[in-house]
Amino acid sequence: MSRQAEADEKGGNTSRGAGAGPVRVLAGAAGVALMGTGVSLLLDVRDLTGVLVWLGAALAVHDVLIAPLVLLAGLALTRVGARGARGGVRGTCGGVRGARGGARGPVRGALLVAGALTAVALPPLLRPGDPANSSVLPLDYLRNWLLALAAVAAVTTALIAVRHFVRPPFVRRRFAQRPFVRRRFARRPWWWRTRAEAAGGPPQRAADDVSEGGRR
Amino acid sequence: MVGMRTLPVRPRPPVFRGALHDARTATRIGRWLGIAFAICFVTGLISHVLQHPPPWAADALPSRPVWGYRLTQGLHVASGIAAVPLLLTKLWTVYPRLFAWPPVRSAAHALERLSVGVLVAGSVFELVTGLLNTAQWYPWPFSFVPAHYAVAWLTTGALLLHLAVKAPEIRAHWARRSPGALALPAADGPDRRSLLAAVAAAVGAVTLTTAGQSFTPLGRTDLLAPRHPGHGPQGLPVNRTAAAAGVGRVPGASYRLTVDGPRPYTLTLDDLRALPQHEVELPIACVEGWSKSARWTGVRVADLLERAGAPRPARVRVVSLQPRGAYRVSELGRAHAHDPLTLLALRLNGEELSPDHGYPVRLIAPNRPGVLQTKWVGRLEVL
Repeated sequence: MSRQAEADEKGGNTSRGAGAGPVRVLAGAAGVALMGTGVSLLLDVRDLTGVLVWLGAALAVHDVLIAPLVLLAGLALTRVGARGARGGVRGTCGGVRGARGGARGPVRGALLVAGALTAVALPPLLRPGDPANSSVLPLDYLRNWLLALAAVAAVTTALIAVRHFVRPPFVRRRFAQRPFVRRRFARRPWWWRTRAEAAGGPPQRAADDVSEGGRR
Repeated sequence: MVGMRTLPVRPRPPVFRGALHDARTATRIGRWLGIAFAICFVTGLISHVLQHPPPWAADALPSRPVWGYRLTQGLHVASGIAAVPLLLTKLWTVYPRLFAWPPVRSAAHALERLSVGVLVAGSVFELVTGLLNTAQWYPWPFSFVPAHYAVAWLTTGALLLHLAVKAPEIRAHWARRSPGALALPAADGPDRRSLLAAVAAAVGAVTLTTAGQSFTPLGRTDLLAPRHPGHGPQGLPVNRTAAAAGVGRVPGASYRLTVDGPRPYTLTLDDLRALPQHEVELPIACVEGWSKSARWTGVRVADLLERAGAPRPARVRVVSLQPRGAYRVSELGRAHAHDPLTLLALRLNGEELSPDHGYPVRLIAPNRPGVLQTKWVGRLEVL
């Protein structure tokens, strides 16, 4: 059972027993009407079988191939992250899934961005045959795709480095003790919160990191 | 009989323990995806009406704003591209629901699941066919335009139905403090924001690397789009070349423009050059999403119509010298025919038109799809 289903059972899901308002009914009816229009338009398409095959293939390729591959990639990322956290050396932020934000989020983000760029690059990269004229597909798409991926890798590396090793430069030890600084950092911004805090633990002052003289 | 129960033959749905397969994540990504699909549908309808005007709309099509079609079709393709990472993440979020147990609870539940199947199939179909069309790659047996258009209605209908069915859940997870959102594990909050930031970054990345094909200031970051504003004869992309249209280089000396109306007449190329010339800045905006503005010089169509004694307002048929092709003939509605910006252009950016841009004479009009900017014009007919 997924965590969503568990949340549903706790009462988060209000769909059962909720009244169907007139707007909702109208929207549903409009949806059915639009689908009907689509079906009648489809019946006029010359090669209807071809369209239906491609519709079915779109569903099958996503649900059977793409989604499981993405889920496996996510699982692998979590496993690697967990191992990194266990084997992490003290003071090096505990591996991939370590403290202070960690690298899992940026790495996942990098994979997502790279995947999206690749999906958009696939048609120009794979299109067989010569284009109709020199202004169609005029670029070196393989070079550009690799360039885009390199940019993603560079930005991700920089982001991880910044989040791990750089603190706001103005938070110096004595400066951090001043009341207005302590007030400003009474709660960390969401991207700087630890998992314990995010889970509802007691708020820890960002300024304490500095005043205690070391990274956590 | 008792042993039967221990046989491990009962199918079990897979278990998903990962975070963020929840309704709050689905609602937040779904909002963005819904906006992208709404833009795609509305701009697609606009493009459809402009390209195949129904009789009631033929005379009502506005010729302003001049950048209208450039904007709507650029948005159509850009929001379709932006929808690629949005759709993939949205489907990843709700994927465990594919294995809901039991698969079917009631007839209504079965119909709802069927409509979600149509929604997913249609969404993937639209993005894949649209993306391949911009690269002029047609690996399917059917004709692109009618199929893409019909499935757009089917998908939008399924989306509306989906929103109606899920309305209570969407409402329960709309805001951070909505009851459904509060019932979810609080520890997922930063993780969710991190994922949403990544999705936003992906949308930004695919937009940045493709939008330059229609938004010229981003031409430098146009790495992956099928067109680039700097590539093409006379610095302007082309869809159908003179060779492909079967026109080749029309000899200027024997060229004649016939204007058919109450007082028909024929002009040579030199006659056209001797008429008052006007210069306009108008974009070529293709249905495939690319567009670029250019400086055109030529004769006002309105002036030619007046000389032919055409009644005002009149509609005009523009006929190309090309021997075949779906866009050999186009029609100018009343607003376009009498717009002072509508020209039969002889020059592009100060140079004589190249054959691929319609030498000796081409139509250029504001707020009009590129395929209807007829090239190699040989005849104007007042309707």
